[in-house]
Amino acid sequence: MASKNSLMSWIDRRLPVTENLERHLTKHPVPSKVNFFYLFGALLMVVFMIQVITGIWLMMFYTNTEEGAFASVEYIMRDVEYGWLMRYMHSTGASAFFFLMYFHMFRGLLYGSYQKPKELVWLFGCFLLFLLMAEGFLGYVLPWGQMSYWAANVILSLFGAIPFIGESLQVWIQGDYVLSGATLSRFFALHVVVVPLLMIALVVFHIFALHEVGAGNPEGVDIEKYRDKTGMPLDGKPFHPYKTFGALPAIGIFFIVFFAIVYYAPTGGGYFIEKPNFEEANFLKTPEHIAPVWYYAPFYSILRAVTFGIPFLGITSKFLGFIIFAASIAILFIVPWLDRSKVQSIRYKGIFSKIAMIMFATSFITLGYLGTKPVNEIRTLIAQICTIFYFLPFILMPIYTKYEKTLEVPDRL
Amino acid sequence: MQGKKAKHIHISEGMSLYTRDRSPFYWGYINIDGEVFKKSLKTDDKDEAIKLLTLWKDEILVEGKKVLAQKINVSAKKTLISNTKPIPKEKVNTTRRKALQITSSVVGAVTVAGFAVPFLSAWQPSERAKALGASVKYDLSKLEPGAMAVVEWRRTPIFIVHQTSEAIKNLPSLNQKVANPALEEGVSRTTNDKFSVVKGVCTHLSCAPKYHPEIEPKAWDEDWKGGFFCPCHGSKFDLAGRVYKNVPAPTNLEVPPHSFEGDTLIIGEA
Ligand code: HEM
Ligand code: FES
Repeated sequence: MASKNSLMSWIDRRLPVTENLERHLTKHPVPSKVNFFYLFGALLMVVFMIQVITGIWLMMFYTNTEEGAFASVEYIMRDVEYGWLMRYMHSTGASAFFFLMYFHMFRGLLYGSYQKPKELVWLFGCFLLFLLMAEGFLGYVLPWGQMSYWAANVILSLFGAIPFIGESLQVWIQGDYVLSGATLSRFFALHVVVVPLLMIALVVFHIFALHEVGAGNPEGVDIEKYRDKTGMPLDGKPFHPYKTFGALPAIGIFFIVFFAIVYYAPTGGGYFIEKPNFEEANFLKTPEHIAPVWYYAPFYSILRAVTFGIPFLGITSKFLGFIIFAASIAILFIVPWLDRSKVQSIRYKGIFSKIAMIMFATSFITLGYLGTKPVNEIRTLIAQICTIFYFLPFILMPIYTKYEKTLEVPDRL
Repeated sequence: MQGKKAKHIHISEGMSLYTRDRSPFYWGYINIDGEVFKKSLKTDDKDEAIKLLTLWKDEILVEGKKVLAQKINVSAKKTLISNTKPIPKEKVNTTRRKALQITSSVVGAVTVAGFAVPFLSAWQPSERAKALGASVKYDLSKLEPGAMAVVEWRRTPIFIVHQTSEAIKNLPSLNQKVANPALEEGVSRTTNDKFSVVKGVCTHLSCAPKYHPEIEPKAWDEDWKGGFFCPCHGSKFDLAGRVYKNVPAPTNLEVPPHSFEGDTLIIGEA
C-alpha cells in the first residue's frame, strides 16, 4: 500500500494520472437514472476497439494491390488460422458500428442531448458519423470484389458530377482515369491510418467535451442544480462503480448477439457483405443491381430519389442528387441551433415534436428498405416522399419547437 | 524539565528527524516553503524513520497541491500588481514586431503551400497510368451488322455498334423521344454512318448499360426501337447512345475521341 502510494504520488507529481482518472472515470458524476439508450456510447467504444484490433490483424495478411487484394482476402478466409474470424468480426463490426451509432444518435434526438451546452459534443459526434461513413466506404473497396468496385464507382462519379472541377477532381481522387489499383492503395492508407487516427482524436474530444458539461438524462433534468456537501450532485452517482458495472451486462449481451452473427450469419443475408463481393472486380461487367450495404441504404435512397435537375442553373439531376444527399447528413450538424424548445426531452415536449420524431424515424427506415431494392416508378415516388419527410422535421424544427406547448420539467430526477 | 538534549538529524533541505525527551520515537520535521509540519513517526528505527518521513512529504505535497496551486496563483497576481509600472514605450518596437509577425506568417504559409504541392500532386495519375491511357485499334471487318463489340480503352468499355439499315432508318424517328437528339453529330453520332462508338458507361452513375438491339416491346418500354438499357436505375438510350427523356441519366452516352482508317477504328485519337 505504502509503496504503491509513493509510486503513484511520484508519478502524479510528474503526470496528473490520479487527478484525471478521478475527473473522467472514478469520481465523474453521472445521472443516477438513465435508460438503455445511454449504453450505446460504451458499446461504440467496444466496437471501435474490435475494429482496430481485427483491422491490425487483417492488415498483416492483406495485400493492397489490384492484382493481390482479392486473392489475399480469400487467403485470409481459407488459409490463415482464424483468418475468417478476424475478417467476419471486422465486417460484422462495421455493421454493428453503424447500428449502434444510429441508436446513439436517435437517443440524442429524442432527449435533446444536443442542446446547450452540449452542442460541441453533438458536433464532434456528427463528424464521427461522417468519418465512419468514409471509413466504411474506403474499407468496402479493399477486398476488391465486384460490389467493392462498382459501388465505389457510383460514389466516385458523384464527385465527377460537381460542375467545372468535377472531372479533374475525380481523376485526382482516383489517381487514374478510372477506378484502379492506384485508387485501391490510397484508399488502404486512408482506411487504416488517416481516418482511424482522426476518429480516435474526435472520440477523445467527444468525451472530454461531455465531461466538461456533464452527461444528460432522459428527463432533461439538470442534475448540477442540487449538490451534497462533497460537491456530488444529489441525482448523480460516481461513474465507477455504478456506470462501469452497469454497462457490463449490456456488453455481455452485445457480445452474444455479435458472435452469433459472426458465426451463423456473417454476411447478414447479403446486407453486411453483398453476394457479388465474393467475385473479383471486373471492369467490363457491371452487376445487374448495385445496392449499398444496409447502413448506407437510407442515404443512397435519397441520392436516387432526385431524378430531376435545375436545367436553367446548369445543375444536372446527378449533381442535385449529390447536394441533397450531402444535405441529409449536413443538416444533422445544425440540429442544436434548430431546436428552440425550452425543454430537452421528448417526454416534456409537445405533440408536434413527437409527430416529427415519428415522421423522421419512419422515413429513415423506409428509405433504408428502398435503398437496397432496385428502382421502379412507385419506389422512386415513395422515396421522394420519404426524402421530404426526412427533411421536414428538421426544417420546421425552429417553428414547432418554439410555439408548441411543453410540460413542466421536474426539479429532481 | 530536564533531559538529554534533543538531537537533530538533517536529512535534506527542509527535512529533518529529531528526538524528544520523553518519546522513544523519531519525530519528523518538514518545512515546505516556510510551512512547517511536525509529527511523531512512531518508530525508533532510524532508516525506517527516514523512509516514512519521505513518504509523508510526498503526501503533503500531493494533498497540498491544489492549495499550493492557489497560493501560486495569488502570489502571481501580487507580482502582477507590483509590476504595474509600465515598461517605457520606447523599449518595445511595435512596428518591428508587427513586421516580424507578418513576414514569419507569410514565410510559414508559403512553406506549408510549398510542401503541399508534392503531396497533392502525388495523387495525380502516374506516368504509368498515363501511358496505359494511350489509344487502341480495332478491326471493323469482323463486326456483323447488328452486332456490338466491346473494346477496352483506358479500362473503360467502349461499345462499337455496327448499325443495321433498319436501325439507321429508325434513329431519326426517335428524335422526339430522346432528351438531346444531337443532330449536329449525324445519325450514328460518328463520322462514319455505319458504326457508332460510345463509352459503355451510364452517364447517371457509371453502370454499364446493356445492349438490347431487338425491336420489340420490353418491360421498360412498350415501343422499344432497340438501344441500351441501364439496369441500375433504369436509364434508356437509343442505338446511337442518345438518352431518353425522363430517366435518371442526364446526358447522352459519351463518344470517346476516335477516328477511322479504312477498316480500322482508332480509339483515343480524334
Ligand atoms: C473504425 C472503423 C472501421 C470500420 C467501420 C471499418 C470497416 C471496414 C469494412 C466494411 C471493410 C470491408 C470488410 C469486408 O468486406 O471484408 C474493412 C476492411 C479492412 N479494414 Fe477496416 N474498418 C474500420 C477500422 C479499421 C482499422 C482501424 C484498420 C487497421 C488498423 C482496418 C483495416 C482493414 C483492412 C486491412 C481491411 C481489408 C481486409 C478485408 O477486407 O477483409 N480497419 N473495414
Ligand atoms: S447508373 Fe445507369 S441509370 Fe443509374
